Amino acid sequence: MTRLLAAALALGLLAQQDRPTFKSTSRTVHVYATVQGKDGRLVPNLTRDDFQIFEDGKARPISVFDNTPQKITVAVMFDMSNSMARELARIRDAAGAFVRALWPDDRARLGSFGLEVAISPLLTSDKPTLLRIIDEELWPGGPTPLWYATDLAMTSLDNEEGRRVILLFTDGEDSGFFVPGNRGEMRRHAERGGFMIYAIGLPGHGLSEDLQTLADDTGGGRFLVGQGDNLGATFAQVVEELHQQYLLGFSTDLLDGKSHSVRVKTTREGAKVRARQSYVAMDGAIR
Amino acid sequence: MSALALLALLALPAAQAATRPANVVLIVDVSHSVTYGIVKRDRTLVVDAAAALAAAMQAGDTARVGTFGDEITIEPAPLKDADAVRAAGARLAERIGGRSPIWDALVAAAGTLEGAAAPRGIIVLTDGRSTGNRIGFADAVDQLKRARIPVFVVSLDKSDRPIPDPGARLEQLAAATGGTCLFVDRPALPAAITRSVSTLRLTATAQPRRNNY
Repeated sequence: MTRLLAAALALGLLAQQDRPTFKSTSRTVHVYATVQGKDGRLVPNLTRDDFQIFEDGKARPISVFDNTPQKITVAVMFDMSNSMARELARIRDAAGAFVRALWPDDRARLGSFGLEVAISPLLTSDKPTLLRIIDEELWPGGPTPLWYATDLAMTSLDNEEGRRVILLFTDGEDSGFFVPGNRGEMRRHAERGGFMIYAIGLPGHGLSEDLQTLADDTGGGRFLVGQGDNLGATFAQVVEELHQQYLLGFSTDLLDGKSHSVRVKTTREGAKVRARQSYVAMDGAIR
Repeated sequence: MSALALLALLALPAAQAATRPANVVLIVDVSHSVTYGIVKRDRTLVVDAAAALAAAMQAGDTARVGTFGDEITIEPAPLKDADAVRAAGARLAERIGGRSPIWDALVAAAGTLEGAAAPRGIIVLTDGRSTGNRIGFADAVDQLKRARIPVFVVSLDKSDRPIPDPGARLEQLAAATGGTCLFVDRPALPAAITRSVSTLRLTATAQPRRNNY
């Protein structure tokens, strides 16, 4: 009886091994889209039929669509270089407004760059903790290692699921001091990881062309704040925008490790779409 | 009783404390803001600090040496002789750069002193620009006070009192835990550590001051 059972088990195992396995190479590319009307206001309540997606110029069926608010996972990096010292009180107020605008399921990690490039080990929804970090861990002084800070912020979210956002607040260009900031590697990291880069700039140097391009390419946003403008309102606006984004997706069979263009359009008259402009067809999950 | 005898009696607790072995943890901030100059890196900070501690050690003392930057590293076992303390400093010399989790490092250092007899305390070498902490300042001070571990701060940020002033929290920390806070420049670092160890030896019976942060 035991022998029979063993034989049956062995046969079963063989049958299992002989069974051909089909592994689909089709994977989904997720795209988060911001839609603004002619007046610049966010356009809510669009449907799947209001969108078109193109991969390398070819229309693709939209296989994923969600217009409910998406929770945010964000790393915020504050430029604390010498030139920002006089703005510290304003920056703290604005950072506080950002934290207060977050929804309960949102998670944020805060960091800064200047004398140090430092990012909190805490990725948290806990607002008192985030406000404590703003109060205790922003120290003005030093250069502007912008690219290194951006790369570090992305690395800190590399293992997080879903939409991942980097919000940079800066008044200048990368200074390259102290730490090796590599713009090219940082850009590849952003594309590979599907990060959305947002940038808020103060008057003065404004936002560098490189940073503007990075924000555009990743489907993020960029805001230049005037001297008398409400900085906190701009930070809160970023939070609102992130909550109003549409999640779209399309299937792809590509697995060539190369960069492929993505275009998202809307049929809604006068409306414009901001979304990532490329993705990398890597093995494993596409971000 | 003569005035002289009375004086001698008053001085007795301090004298007894001075002869009792001390248990010290030295933690050195090796973050970017402390060790990265425009021209050169300060790779000898922890070496010099450990050497100063080693020189101040007396028979029966134990010491641990640690650093904090992107990582917090503290010697797992208490070291009992000066050469071992110097060697520990040399081992940690290359660990420079990164963030400044001062409060996390202090709480970790306090953990290594659990069960150690007084006089005991932490000497922390830092510029006070805390970043990347899991624990906030107030929580860290509470934990140190509950553990009755005085903190002796040696701050290398002497130049001016910037706004915001990182030295302000360091002074509050020292006052709340019964330690001291010295602001020095780099050449005066060994003397400040020697002085901190001497003061620490006198804290055997000292009580932390009331919380004033």
